[in-house]
Formats: sequence, C-alpha cells, structure tokens
Amino acid sequence: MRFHMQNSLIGTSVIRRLNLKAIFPLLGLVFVVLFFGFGTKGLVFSKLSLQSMLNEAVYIFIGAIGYAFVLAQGNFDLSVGSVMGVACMTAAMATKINPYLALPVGIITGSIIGLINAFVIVKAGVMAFITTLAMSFMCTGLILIISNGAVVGAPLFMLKWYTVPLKLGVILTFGIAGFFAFERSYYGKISKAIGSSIEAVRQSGTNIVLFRILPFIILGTIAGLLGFISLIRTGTASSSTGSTLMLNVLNAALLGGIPFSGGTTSKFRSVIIGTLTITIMSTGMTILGTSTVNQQLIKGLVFLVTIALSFDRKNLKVIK
Amino acid sequence: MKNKIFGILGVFVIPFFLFIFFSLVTPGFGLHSLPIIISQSMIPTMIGFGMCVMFLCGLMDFSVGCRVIFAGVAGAALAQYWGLVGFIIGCIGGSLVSALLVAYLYRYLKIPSMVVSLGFVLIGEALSYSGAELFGFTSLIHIPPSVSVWFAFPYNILWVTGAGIVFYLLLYHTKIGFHIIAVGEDELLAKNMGVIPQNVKTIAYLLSGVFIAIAAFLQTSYAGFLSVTLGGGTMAMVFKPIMGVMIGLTLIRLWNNSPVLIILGEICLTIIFNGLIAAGLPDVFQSIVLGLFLLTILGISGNTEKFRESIRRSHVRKMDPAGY
Repeated sequence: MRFHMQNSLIGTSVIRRLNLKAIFPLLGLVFVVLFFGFGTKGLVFSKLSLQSMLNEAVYIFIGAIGYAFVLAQGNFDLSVGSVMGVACMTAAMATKINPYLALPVGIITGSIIGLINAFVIVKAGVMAFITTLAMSFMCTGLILIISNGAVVGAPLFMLKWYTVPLKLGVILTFGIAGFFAFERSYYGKISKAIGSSIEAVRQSGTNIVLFRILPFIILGTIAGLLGFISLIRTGTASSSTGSTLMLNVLNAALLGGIPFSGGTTSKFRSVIIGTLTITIMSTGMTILGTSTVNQQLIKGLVFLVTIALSFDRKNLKVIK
Repeated sequence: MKNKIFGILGVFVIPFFLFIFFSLVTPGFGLHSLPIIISQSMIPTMIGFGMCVMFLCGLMDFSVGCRVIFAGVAGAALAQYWGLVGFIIGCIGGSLVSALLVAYLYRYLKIPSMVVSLGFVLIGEALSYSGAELFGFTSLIHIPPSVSVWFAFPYNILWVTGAGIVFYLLLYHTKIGFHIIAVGEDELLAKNMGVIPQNVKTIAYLLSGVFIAIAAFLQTSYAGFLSVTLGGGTMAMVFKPIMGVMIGLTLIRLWNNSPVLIILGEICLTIIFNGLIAAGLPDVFQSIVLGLFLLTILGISGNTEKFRESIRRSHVRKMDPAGY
C-alpha cells in the first residue's frame, strides 16, 4: 500500500516537473501532424505540399521571430501586416529606378515605421495597441497614396530571385540569429526580464529605453524584409499585401507558447512550434477541402483553446 | 463651480471652433454639411458607447465590429419574415448572444479580454458569413427601405440621444455603473469591498451588447446594406470609435460626462475629415490624418506633467541662469 502511494506521489511530481503548460504546444503540434497526416493519407507531407508550406512558413516564421521580441516584453503590435504592405509598395516603386534598390528601400521603410512606433510607445508613453492600431491605419492610407489605388508591378526577372535555396537560407539565417539573440544574448535576457517586471529591471540600473525601443525596430525591419519577399514572390504590390500577416504571426507566436504577458517563460522554440502548427494546419485543411470560412472558424477555436491551456496565470493577480 | 462651467464650455468650444474654422477656410463646407457630419458620427458614437463600457470596466474588445456585423446579419435575416420588428429583435438578439459568447469565453477561459476578442473576431466573422449564406444573402446584406428608414437621418439622432441618456444614467446613477467603474479602477479593491468582478464584467459585456445592437441598426440602415468580411476585416470598424472614446476620456478632466464627450469626440473627427475633403485633400488621407490626430492627442494628454515641468524649469533657468 505504502509502495503504491509512493509510486503515485513520484508520478505526480514527475508530471509537475514536466510542466504540462510548457509541453502543451508541442503536444498540439504532434496532434496536428498525426491528425492531418492520417486525415490526408500522408498527402500533407508530399513534395508539393511541403513546397506550399515553405512558402507560407517564410512569412510566418520570420514574422513570428520579430513578434517574439515584442511579446517577450509584454507588448503588442497590430501594425506588422500594414508595415509589410507599405514596405512592399515602396520596394515596388523603387524597382522603377533600379530593381536592386527594392531590398534596401523595403527594409529602410519598415525600420523607420518601427522606429516611429517605438518612439511613440516608449518616449511619448502612448499604449502599444493604440499606437500600432493607428499606425496600421496610417500605413493603409499611405499604401493607397503611394500606389494611387492601383496594383504596382515589379520587373518580371525579379520573380526568379524567389527560389527554394533563398527561402531556406532566409529561414535558417533568421532562425539561428533569432535563437542566439533571444536565448543567449544579454539583450534577449533583459527583454524577457522587462516582460516579467519592468520596474525590477529599471531598479537594477539598466537603461531600459533602448531595450524597449529595439523590438519594434526589429519587427519593423522584418516586416520590411517580408514586404520585399512578397514582392519577389508575387511580382506585385497592392493594398491587400500583408493583410493576413498580423493574425498569422500572432497566432504562431501564441500557439507556440509565448505567454501574452511576456516574461522569462518566453522561449524561442515557441516560434518554431507555432509556425509548424499553423502551416501544417492551413495546408492540411486546404487538402481536406475545408472552406475558407470553416478554416477561419477552426483557426479561431484552436487559437482560443491553445492560449487558454498554455496561458501563464501564476503571476497574475487580475486578468484583464 | 466656475471651473466646472469653464470645463463644460471648453468641451463644446472644440467642435464649435473646428466647424467655424473649416467653414471659413473651405468653400464647400458650411451649415449644409451639418446633417452629413451628424449622420456620419452616429455609428462610431454607438460603437464607442459599447467600447467605453468595456474600457471603464478595464476590458479591451476588438470584436465590437464583428459583433455589429453578427447582429446585423441576425436582424436582416429576421427582417425577411417580420419586417421592422424582426429586424429589431434580430439585431438585439444577435448582439446579446455574441456579447454573452465573448463574456463567457473571457470568464471561463481566463485569458486577457484582448486575446479573447481577437479569437472571437475569427469565430464571429465565420459565423456571420455562414449565417448570411444560410439565409440566402451574399457577402452584401440588404434590408428593405421600409425598415432602414427608421434608423436613417434624422431618426438616427434620436436613437443616439436616447442611447446616450441611458448610458449616462446607467453609468452615473446606478449601482451597476459604479461597480463597473470600481472594477475598472481597481479590481482587487472592488472585490474586497464585496463586488463580484466576474458578474460585473459579464454585465458590462451585455450592456455593451445593447449599444452594439443599436450600432447594428444604424450601420445596416446607413447605406441600406451590410458587408460581411473575413480575415479580421471587421477590426477596421474599431478604429474610429476607439479614437472618439480616447478623445472623450482624455477630456474627462474638463467635464465628467463620458457620453457627451464621446459624441463630441466623434463629431470633432467627422468635422476634420469632411473639412479636409472639402479643402481638396483626397479621402485616402483620412486614415493618415485620423492616426496622426489620435497619436497627437494621446501623446500630449499623457505628457502634460512633463510639459509643465519643462516649462517650469525653463522659467527657473530664465530667472537664475547662472545658478541653474
């Protein structure tokens, strides 16, 4: 009897140590892989599907890396999609002068908008969600002004730049750089500490202004790069460019397990898990013939359930 | 008392001067623009009332636009069978059901209201779209003119005025209004005082649902049709109301009357848009002007202490440049 009780206690402590909340996103990914693997009779992992997933993953993975830095500090950015749209549009306009200007112009555009977001949030003290919502609408207007409401095309030869090695190279480069910046660097550690307790970091003598400004610039720069990638993928820039990015990227980061409140429990692996979950789910649903409406419904439900299961309520007295 | 009167006058002076300014500067703008300005301000004002209840309770809701569409679809569906009565019942029912859904998701999932609202935007848009298809509509939902006439100008002013009075009485003269403000200010303290925050928040969601239902009446009747979008498109409907609420809550130190301040905030925004369009600025500039206006107002209002301090320092520097 005593032996049985001891065993059961050991079992409970092992489960506690495993931290179910931390492994839930991984379990979610395993479920998605098995469900769509069997559901589509393996079609979801065919060469064609993997290519389609790679196309989607480039945007979601890189965007989610940028978003992870913002979320780790307990912040929020609603403008990432529209910043990508503006960057894509300015890059498309730049190709009229010289196609090789598209990349720097896109990146600089994104960085400048990110810097403006950061300045208003950090220096002027306006709430992040209001600032980025306002920026999102300003960017939408800006796209229409730059393009005059038309679709702007890029030279056709630029489409050849969008190759599998480029996509894999970008994913690997950003993955490695993002991992070291997020998990191993001083900046990453301070960012997470700001998410846990901004006052404690301030009291420790760290100048937090720069640390708070950087994530928005990083995300803006990444949105700029994604604008360029979108341009060489589709060959066009329009008012709808980037319209789905924000929800996809936020979904990926949160589904992967980055807590909405940020803090030290934010992990880089969440970005990878979230991206894989979202892309496999989207591709799997398309193969199964799920309508766009039902896909959105399922994504919404999965989003809520996963966050509810992985949300860290331990340090929160009140959930608002 | 004197300060209060000056405060109230100050609040009304802002839209008045904006109107006079644009009337003088732009030739196409004047008294004849007033009905358009008021009409255009009514929908964001109603959505703003719904959002303000949530704000005051400490909650953030991006799903209000989606809830307007959801209610509008339900109203338009019932209007096919029972005309005006069906439309009203459908809008109110749809709005309350969607508000309850969000409230219970927030209550039982125990995640931030902002996240719940983002998730609900996806769910609610999909449900609205499926609902519209079920009742034989396309992505554009039309209601008969015999129904929409009751919510068009000048009746829309009556609806908003009535809603504003209800909003004021609820917030400043009822127990639940005080509880909502108390929970928004300090939830833990309110809890210790015997208030049950979860119940208060659910009621706040339901009250916002009532205002969102009226917004659905006005939105559906404004152009005679309602556009059902997917992919988070309804979040765009949040922006203008949020600005009116923010401007209203910023001016609250002048006069503690949020419904009037929200109405005036929305009217100010509409005057600026219409004034700029009349001045020849293309309407695509609207969103840029909107964004800049909001950030400027919030930036200034949130830093008044800093500005005062820097002015005080510059005075000290002038008085004693050597010793400073």
